[in-house]
Amino acid sequence: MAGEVAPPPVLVPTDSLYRGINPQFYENGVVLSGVFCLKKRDTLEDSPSVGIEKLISLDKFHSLMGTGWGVGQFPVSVPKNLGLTLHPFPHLPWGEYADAHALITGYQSLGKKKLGDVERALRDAVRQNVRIPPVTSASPYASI
Amino acid sequence: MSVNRLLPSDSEALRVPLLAQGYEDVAPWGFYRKRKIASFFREVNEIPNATLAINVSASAGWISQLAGITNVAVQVASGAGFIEEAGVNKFIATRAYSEGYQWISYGQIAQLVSGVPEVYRQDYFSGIVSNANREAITLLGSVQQLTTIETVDAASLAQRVVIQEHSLSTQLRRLRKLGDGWDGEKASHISEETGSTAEALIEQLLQVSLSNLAIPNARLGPLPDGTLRFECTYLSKELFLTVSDKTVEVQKWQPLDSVESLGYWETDLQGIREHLEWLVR
Repeated sequence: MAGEVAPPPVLVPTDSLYRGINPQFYENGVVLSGVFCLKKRDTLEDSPSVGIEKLISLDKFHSLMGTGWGVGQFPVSVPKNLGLTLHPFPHLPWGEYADAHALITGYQSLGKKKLGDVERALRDAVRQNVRIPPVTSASPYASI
Repeated sequence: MSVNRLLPSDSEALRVPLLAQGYEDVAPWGFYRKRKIASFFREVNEIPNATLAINVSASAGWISQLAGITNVAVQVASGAGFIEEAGVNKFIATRAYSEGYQWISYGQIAQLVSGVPEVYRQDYFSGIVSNANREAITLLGSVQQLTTIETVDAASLAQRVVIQEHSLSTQLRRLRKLGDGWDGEKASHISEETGSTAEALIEQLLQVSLSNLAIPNARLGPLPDGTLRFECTYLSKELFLTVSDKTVEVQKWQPLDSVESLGYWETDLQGIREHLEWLVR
């Protein structure tokens, strides 16, 4: 029905997420921890954004990234098991796929040691399943 | 260039005559036993001139790379009677050798590499390097250490260390050129101080690799807040070194599949060495 707001998607641990990989975080074929840089002072908007796989195709998600960017995929269970929160957050520039956007939050209360642990664990999750490798000679600048 | 006929022409253990006379404790024959050294000399003798500038790069031969990284100036034996004195853990006088070499800046243009064996004694030899600076001594160490190095193939190790150092330095130069907003959002550029600290850290990594005969896998990347992070792994260990101006944050994990780190430290360049040593031990 026109004007009706869709409810936020329900995510289960077996669902998958896409994460854009800036070429700067891809060194000699390996994803670096910069792909998830987490700071205590991050606001909600600063939080790492991801795409919800069941709401957007890989190719479409990739097309929303900057030139040369790659895409990694990992299960929802990874951030959940790290005590993080997956926060569906419509992103209007994604147009009809706005609802496929989510933010990973809940780390702002962690200490530096734990933040490093989480960054590394998320890096490892993306590193295990790079669906589209970044093109390292391309511009690192994103289109979003 | 004259080639000293004492130099072995193959890689097998060879008995060579000892030129030095009057050393009562020196056996008349010594064993020249080290395959790589033999190879080293043979390659050295193929260099046509006594002085040769070599660009240090990943594609260069390992001899030039070794020289570039250690500033080793091993000279050509240009005649007989070059053996003057010898001793364990001691470098030999050079007056009988060719002249005209000069030290070079670390990581810059390599000076001539050439080789000459020195006095042979039973069970050991000494004086492989006729002159060396601190970095060279770090690499070659004592005679006993040298023996160890050869066992694990010093040539291959030195080559890989140089390639890694070259790769990290190249990456650092590239990252230092990033401007604000390099991630397409609000990322900060790399400050001069952060770049300098990272440069010194690469040198420390190099020295620890050579002195421990171990080469960790090290990658360098930027973070959006303008810091630089080295991600180093070796066997079952991983070490993060995050550089922010003069401060280095350290975090380490063992084993690799562990999520929780062993600890978190904030230190400076002086405090880094112990963590690098932990990684490669």
